[in-house]
Amino acid sequence: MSTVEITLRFDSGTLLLDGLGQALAPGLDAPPPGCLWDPRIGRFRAPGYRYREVMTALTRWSRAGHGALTDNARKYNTLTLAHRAERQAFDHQREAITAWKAKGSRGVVVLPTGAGKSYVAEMAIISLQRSALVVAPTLDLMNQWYDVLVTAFGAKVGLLGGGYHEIEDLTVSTYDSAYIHMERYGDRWGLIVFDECHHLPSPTYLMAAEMSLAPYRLGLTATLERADGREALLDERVGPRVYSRGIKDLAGEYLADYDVQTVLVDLTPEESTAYTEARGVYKDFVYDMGISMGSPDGWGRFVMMSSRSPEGRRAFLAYREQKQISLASRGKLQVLEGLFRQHARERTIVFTNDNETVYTISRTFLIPAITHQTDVKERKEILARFNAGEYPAVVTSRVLNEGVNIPEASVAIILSGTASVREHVQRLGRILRRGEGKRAVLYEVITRGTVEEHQSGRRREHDAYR
Amino acid sequence: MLTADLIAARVVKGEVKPRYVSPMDPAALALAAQMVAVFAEHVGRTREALDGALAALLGEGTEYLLHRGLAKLLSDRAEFEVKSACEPSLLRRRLFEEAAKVHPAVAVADAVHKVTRDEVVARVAAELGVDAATVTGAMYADLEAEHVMTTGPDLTPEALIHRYNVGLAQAVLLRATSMTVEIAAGAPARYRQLFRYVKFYRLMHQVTGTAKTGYVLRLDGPMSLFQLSQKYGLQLAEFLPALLLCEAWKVSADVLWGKEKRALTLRLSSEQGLVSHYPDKGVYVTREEQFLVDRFAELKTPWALERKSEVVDLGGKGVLVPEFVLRHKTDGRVAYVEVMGFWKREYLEARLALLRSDGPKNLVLAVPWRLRGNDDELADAPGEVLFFKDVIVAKELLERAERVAKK
Repeated sequence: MSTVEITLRFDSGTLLLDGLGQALAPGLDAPPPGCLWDPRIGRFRAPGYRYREVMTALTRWSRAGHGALTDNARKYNTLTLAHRAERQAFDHQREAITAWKAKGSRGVVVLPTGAGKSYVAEMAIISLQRSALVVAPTLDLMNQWYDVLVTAFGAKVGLLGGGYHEIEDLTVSTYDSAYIHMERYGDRWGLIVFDECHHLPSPTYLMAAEMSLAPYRLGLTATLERADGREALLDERVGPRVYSRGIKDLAGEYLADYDVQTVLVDLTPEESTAYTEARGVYKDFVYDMGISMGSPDGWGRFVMMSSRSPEGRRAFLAYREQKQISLASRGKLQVLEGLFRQHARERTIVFTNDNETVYTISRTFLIPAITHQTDVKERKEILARFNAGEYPAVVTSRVLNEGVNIPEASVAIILSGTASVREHVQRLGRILRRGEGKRAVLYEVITRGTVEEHQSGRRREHDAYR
Repeated sequence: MLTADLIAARVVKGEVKPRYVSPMDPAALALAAQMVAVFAEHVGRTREALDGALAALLGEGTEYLLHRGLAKLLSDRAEFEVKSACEPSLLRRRLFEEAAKVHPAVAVADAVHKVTRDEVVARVAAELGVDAATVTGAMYADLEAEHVMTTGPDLTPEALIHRYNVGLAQAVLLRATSMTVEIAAGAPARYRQLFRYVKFYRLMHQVTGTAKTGYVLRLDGPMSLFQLSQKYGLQLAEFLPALLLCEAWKVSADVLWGKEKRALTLRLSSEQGLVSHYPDKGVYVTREEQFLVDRFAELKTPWALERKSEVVDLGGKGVLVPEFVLRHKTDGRVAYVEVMGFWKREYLEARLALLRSDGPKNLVLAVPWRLRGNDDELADAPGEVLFFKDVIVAKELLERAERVAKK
């Protein structure tokens, strides 16, 4: 009998094994790890991320003299990258990378925002010297990683997402684009860095991790916990949690100290009347329909029931109106002016929940706005001018929630937000940058007598506010 | 295409039933006509004005899924542009620069903050030689809401409703993990067109069945082997209008529905009257094919030339849909005929490689003379090769069929 020759190749996010029939081969009692017989094309197939295990098993099989193995799957390269400017890593960064390497260069590092997670990624890239992809949740972060990598290595960096489609040995992408394109490019990188990797366990994004061959993986996040508990899925696709430091472990030492202040605002009499009336319409409908808005499916039921009758439709419009009044009351704009006056010489970021309020504030105070609609170039310019001190204030919606570097900001004002704990930790993280004895202030502006007051109370139960 | 949030459907006994709208329904036609009219009226006006008019049309009505769905389809076929007296981003920069000098630009001046927001606007307006209202108007003219419709959509109310119905089925397919198509015999060119679309949308297929019973196609993607995945839902949805070009078919698609990902089925069929908007190139019969049919009819031969087509699976990598099947009337032997008409040279080569590895042996390839190239390449062609110049000579075809035909 002729010797068995197995050839691995990459096929649309999966691995195909040519030359191995369903009857297997001498020396192989079972299909290689993760491989299933695909009757559609008469081959064994495995999801891309099992590449490392498949190679390990088949290399052992081949070395034992059972047959030949050819790897046509891997298309990533070995690099010779060096840091353009060497810098001293912090202890927590060095410890994190050591722990990650000890686990076979796979796993998740948990560090608070501002603790230099991107430098940990740079160290991982240097230590492995393989083609690497960084995946980030937003276009802002994608652009920022682009700058980080260009600055660190002086190498050509590709972009995949936001209208860009350039594949290089160092490439940055968004989760959305990675999900769409990984079936084509999953063979191009040996290392993947998942920034803000608590996003990864959604079913779609997870496939981006599954369709890549990359044997080496690094997850970075400030908050691994998800409301749905799916973070356990990261274990197999990225690796175990290898290192973890909380915000309290590092505050004062590596991060700026911070104060939190709550400012209560009253609605104007007209706003108050409108709020009460709209809220009444909405509450009556919810009560009549027997919907409990506190239950997990409450919102979904409200949306569904409100679509079935003119009363429901009115209730839905009323819901939006009362929400809008509490988010962007005139009182809040006055308070904002007061805070601007108080901190006229400090760089200030204003956060709101919705784009409409962002543009209202931008038009009212003539300060730059950043939303998902802001053009990439303009966004870059605004942030650069803000960091340089040319613009004293910036107003933004959720787009800046995660990890965007604004090292010089020392005042943050949350004008309207949602109750999500994570969002607020990250908003806090934004102003918690290392500085010379800098003490940052976070204002939370809340409309008195509206549901916002209750939500703020819930927020305070989180670690970062204690 | 409609997006997932615009799906109007109900669930009945494990099936997703899209709420199709009858193109005969006077109320639906009236709504579609009103929407088309609103769009036509708003050529030259902003998206915000358009959205306002559309919201007014809905009023306190509850048909907002249908409403938003029709609006989305019309909006996709309209063109919007930024229209402004000044370049908005440059104007903004000047406003921000001037305001930064006096930050904060207050509402009312006082001892500390002597310059108000309105004075900043007036300064920039004077600098640009326009009035203050123009400045505030142009400040965010590049925001989507302020874009101006330059070209309206070109759909009639009926066409809009057809698009809507197809869009609904497509939106459900976005949630699909796989799709099974039962398809009765059709013109070979139709089948070929269908499989071209399968390939174009990078779907994987598994074909079972025969020309007699009809074929069953199972469509999904590479990762479907490991998990139920909605990754290929978009490709399945885009494929649907190609299927709509065929006659006599049935679809059963597995969908994961809602947040809980309930396993449900979507059933579609050629009986439902869904109308494709893809061009149909599947009924075209080439001149040489027609000529062959005509000449063959004049021959006295035990062979029958059948145009009813078969689908031969090529190891999952493609299909052979022969233009003709030659069947011996007495002994039942069969030979397939594939005509490689207006093919590109490189496509021919790829095709030959596939037929060599996975094709049937009882095959006659009719190849135009201009594709002959050097003889070596075709020397080890699968089956028999018949070169032709203008017409395929029936007798020559029969000679070759005799050599390869089998039961």
